[in-house]
Parts: sequence; structure tokens; C-alpha cells
Amino acid sequence: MTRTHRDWHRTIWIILAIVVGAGFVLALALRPAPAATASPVFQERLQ
Amino acid sequence: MSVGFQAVQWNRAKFIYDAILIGCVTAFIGTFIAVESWLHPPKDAGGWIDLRIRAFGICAFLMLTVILSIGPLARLSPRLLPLLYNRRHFGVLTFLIALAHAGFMIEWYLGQNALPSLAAELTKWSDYGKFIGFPFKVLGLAALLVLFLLASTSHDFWLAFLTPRTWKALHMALYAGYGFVVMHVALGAMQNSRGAAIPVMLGASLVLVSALHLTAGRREQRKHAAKLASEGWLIVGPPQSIPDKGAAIVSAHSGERIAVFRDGRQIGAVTNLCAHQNGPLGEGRIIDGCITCPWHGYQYKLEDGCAPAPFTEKLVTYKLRINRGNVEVDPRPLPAGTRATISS
Repeated sequence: MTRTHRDWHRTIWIILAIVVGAGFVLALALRPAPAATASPVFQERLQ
Repeated sequence: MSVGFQAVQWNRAKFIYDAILIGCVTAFIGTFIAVESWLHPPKDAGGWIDLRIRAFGICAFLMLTVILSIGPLARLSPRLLPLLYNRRHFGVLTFLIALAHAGFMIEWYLGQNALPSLAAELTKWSDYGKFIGFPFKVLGLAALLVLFLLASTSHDFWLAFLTPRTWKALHMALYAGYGFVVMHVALGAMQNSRGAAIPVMLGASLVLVSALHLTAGRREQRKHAAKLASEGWLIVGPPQSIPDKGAAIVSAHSGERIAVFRDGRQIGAVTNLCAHQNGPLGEGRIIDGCITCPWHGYQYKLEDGCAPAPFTEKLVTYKLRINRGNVEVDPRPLPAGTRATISS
């Protein structure tokens, strides 16, 4: 990895880690109670 | 390039790597479907497709986690370098598994005669302003696009065409692809399940990938920090501190890394970047008198950094000297292919 790549790698990686980590925690905290029926992955699709 | 170069780059090690990879993927998907269908038998054809979607989706996510962990793992322990070998095939297979996941989703909508509802979901522009309720499938499509881009440019033809520098920069998009996948799952499947399995899987993957990158980065920084000698030269250490047929890596203050190799009494310094794919040459060995890249076996002569004939790749070399019992290296690079070895 060249110096430029390494610098980019470090910067991008940290920003992405923070954004994705925060997004994951927020999504976890805000997830609603599920409806009781239908398959878990697709229950909202046909609504 | 390696003296053992073959036009068709298949060899026994690659076949074994691919066989193990395909075996593990098949075993994971087969076991997942068998166990899940036993615990929660699907009620109809749609249920079976749903099961396949989850099996392939989870498999692709875990594969992506492994791919991102291989780099730092190989830096933390050279014994894990074989994992790095042929990593591109790992990436292509991950794309194919993710593509199958997307294909099964389309099949599910077709089976329910609900394809228009998928289009409506993707074009409901008001949802794009929401966090919970964001059209998560768009994130999955974005990740699939990144994986496709990387898989389709993974061949050495594209590496040569784009140059290693551009190719490597392009392939860093994998990090963005990983981010899209995490949010695709977090805003999709995780929102529809109160179970702990999905959050645990996502959280563990994020922690693992982050921890490995941070650990490898810090260790590398500590390990390669070189002391400054007179006239801006860098102290590498006594000749015997450089492993025979191996290298010590030092970091110049500009940030570029220099690999100082020792072959018996002969010592030479070259850039740490392989001309093939910018692999870490200093983590390689001297084999048959040539510096050999640990990633794909590209070789260069120690004395001048030139690939053995008939190959033409050349590496930047560096001046060396022995001063007060220490090997010192001048961080100002010499033109590629300049003879610059010394004898200890």
C-alpha cells in the first residue's frame, strides 16, 4: 500500500466505522416491535 | 514477476484454496437451510425462497467480514498469509452469493405476483428522508454494485490496465460496500425481528473488523518507526538484526516504507511496494536469490530490484551504509533498477 493509499485507508476507514457504527446503534435502538404474522424478512413488503 | 510465471495462473494451491472455499460456503448454506427448515418448517414455496434469501444473505455478509479481516490478520501473523493468497477468488464468490441472494428476492416477488410493489417500494421518494423506513433494498443494491465492480476488475488484466495504484484505490470501495451491507441488514431484516441473532452478528462483525484493523495499524506503526541517523539517514539496526533471507521494514518520515533485505552477507534496500499489486514486499522472503512478494510470488533481484529475465518490472532501490555497527538507509529513493547492495 502506498503512503497515499495508507492515508486514505486510515481516513476513510475511521469515518466509515463511526458512521456505520452509529447507524447500527441507532437502528437497533429505534427498531419497532414486529407484527406477529408473515415471514420475518418480508412482512412489510406487501403492505 | 515470478520466474515461475505461467500464462494461465492456476496452480495446485489455488485449486485447494478454491475447493476449501466452495466447500465451506456449500456447508454453511446447506447447514443453515437444513437447521432452519427443521426448526421452523416453511409453510409454502414463498417460505422456502425466504429461507434461501436469508441463507445466502448471511453467508455473503460473513464472507465479506472474513475478506476484510484477512488483510490485518495476515499482518498480525505471517502464518495466516495463505488466507491472503487468492483473496480475489474469495471476493468473486462473495459477489456471486450476494447476487443469488438478490435473485431469490426477485423470485419471491415474482412468486407473489408482487413485482410492482417492489418497484413502488424503491420509488417511494418520501421514504428516502426517513431513517427507520429507509428503502433498505437500495443499500443492498448499492453494495451489490460495488461487489460487481470489484469482482469484474479483479483479473490481472485490469490490474495492469488501471495500474496498481488506481486498482488498489478502486478496490478500497469494498469498505463502502461493507457499510452499505451493514445498514442494509440493520434497516431491513433487523427491523423485522426482535431476536438477538441479527444484532449480535452485525455488532460482532463491526467490532471484529474494527479491532483487527486498529491492532494491525498500531502494531505496524510501532514496529516500523526508525531512528534518525546523521544526514537524514535511517538506522535499521545491526546486520544480524535483519533476518537472513528476510527483511526489516523501516518507515521514512515521509511515510513511505523501505524493506531492507539480508541474504547472508549481502544487504539491499528496496521499496516495500511490489510492482504487481503494491503487496508488502518486506513481509516476503528471499527465494532462489530473489526477493519474493508474499502475496502473489512476484520476484526481484536483491542487488538492483529488477525482475529476473524475461520480465521487466523494476523497483526503486535505496543507498545503504554501515555506520557504528548499524545498517543505515538513505530514505531518498534511487531510480528504479539501480544497483545498491552492500556487504556486511
